[in-house]
Amino acid sequence: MDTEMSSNTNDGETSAVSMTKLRTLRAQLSVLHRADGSVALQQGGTVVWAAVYGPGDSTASKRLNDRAFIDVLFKPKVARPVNDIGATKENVSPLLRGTCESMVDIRRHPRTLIELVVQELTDDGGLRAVCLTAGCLALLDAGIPMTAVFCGVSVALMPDDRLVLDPPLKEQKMATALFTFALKSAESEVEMISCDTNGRFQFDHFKRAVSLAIEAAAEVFLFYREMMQRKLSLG
Amino acid sequence: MASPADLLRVCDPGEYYRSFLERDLLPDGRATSEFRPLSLQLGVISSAYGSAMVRQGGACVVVSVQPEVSVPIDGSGFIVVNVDSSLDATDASLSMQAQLEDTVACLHSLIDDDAIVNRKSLVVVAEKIAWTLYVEVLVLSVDGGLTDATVSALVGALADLRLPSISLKDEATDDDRPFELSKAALVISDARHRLELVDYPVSSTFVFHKATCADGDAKKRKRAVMRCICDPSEQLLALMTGACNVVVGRQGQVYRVNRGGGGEGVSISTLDTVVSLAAKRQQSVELVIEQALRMRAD
Repeated sequence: MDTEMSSNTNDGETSAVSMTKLRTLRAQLSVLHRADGSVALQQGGTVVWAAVYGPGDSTASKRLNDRAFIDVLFKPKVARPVNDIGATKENVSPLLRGTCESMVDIRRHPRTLIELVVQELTDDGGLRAVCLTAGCLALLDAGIPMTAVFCGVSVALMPDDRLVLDPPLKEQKMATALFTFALKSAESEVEMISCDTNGRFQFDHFKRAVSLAIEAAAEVFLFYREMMQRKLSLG
Repeated sequence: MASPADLLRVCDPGEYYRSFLERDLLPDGRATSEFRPLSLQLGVISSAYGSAMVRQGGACVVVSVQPEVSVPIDGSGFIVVNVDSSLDATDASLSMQAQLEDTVACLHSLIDDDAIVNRKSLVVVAEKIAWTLYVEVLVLSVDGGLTDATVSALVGALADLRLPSISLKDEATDDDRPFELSKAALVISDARHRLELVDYPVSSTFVFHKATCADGDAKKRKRAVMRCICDPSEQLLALMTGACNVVVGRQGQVYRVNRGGGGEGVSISTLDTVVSLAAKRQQSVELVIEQALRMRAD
């Protein structure tokens, strides 16, 4: 369902913002029985599996005295060499690790290891954002104490200055820039906590993309609520 | 006998920094909106075709560029980056390892977006000869500012780069036979030419500090001030999560806005401040690079 909206930018020009809805979200919790928490998540055509192990024992190199060590492993479908310039675009580990370290209550379990493994199965656009969402669902499924929930949303900037929310791969490839946001929800307020960008843009595009992402995130958090209600048989 | 300030810095670094940040100052005397001075030297490695050494605050980075002849793919040449750090992998703290990873991601991102050099301009003879630039990044020391120093050093090294002019000895070749680089005869002249840089991207790193209003009622306390701190030192980076890295070029072109997670959300107004500070920084760094280029030419 496409809704065309016209908005006035600061310098009086009108720019069309195409506000496409987020693609359909489908998830199944606890798909992996050996993991403490896991999820198989599908957003549109992008499919990602995530598993959480922990809080558990760790080797000395991954042990911190005052907090839990969060280890994030992203497994792309096709492994690429470290020096591959294109590969770092897809790497969600630093973004996910940073977000988890702020959202998980790491002070609660010092000297332990919380391992989050995210496996890419199909990339049909917005892969990093879907990995972020899957990461949070897996953490929720594992019952890891968290300070807030978070989700990932991607927004693409097209050559005609149009912003597209949660683009499929075909559109993503044509974009001049792709923004991946991690948004948190605390006390029903949605804020942007992490972001990463690819491509070139003007700051105005980025600002518009943030507003778009914040609005869309509400839908994802509603989805979390449904998933957890189903899991705990409250719905 | 350590001074009370040093003791506070060790025992409660949060309180130590808070006492400075409340006055919009940092312990090293600069304002929170000030960047540490940047020093750039070009041509530091004489054996390399292009090189630059950048000292920014406590970070010192050397970048050298070695061109090699190769066959173009999809009408463009290549830039391969290798980062070598003198920091021992086991000794380096988590924060430094994360910084290193972020720096590599930033460089890859800039190269992939053709932010400094358009890789299509590395093609010398269409479909036959192109340059592959091997970029070696050597990190000598880090005290925050690693990404900033490395990006400036990369831009400097590519600006300093002098490529030899090459051409095929035998232009007329059989169209049926596939072109083999190893069997081609190349004419390499002594003449050197500079690369045309597309833009001068400059990286700036910020951390945020949420200052709560001590006085006032509940409403006022909620509207806490989010302070932007430019160019944080290593200790400050480790203390405050959620560092934001912004790479901007000329005329408001933004190449990267990256924030790897932080407890506090970042509002649009804070980002406005960040980008305007980054834009100012870009202008001053571009002047430094141009001045260094002029000195090199003399």
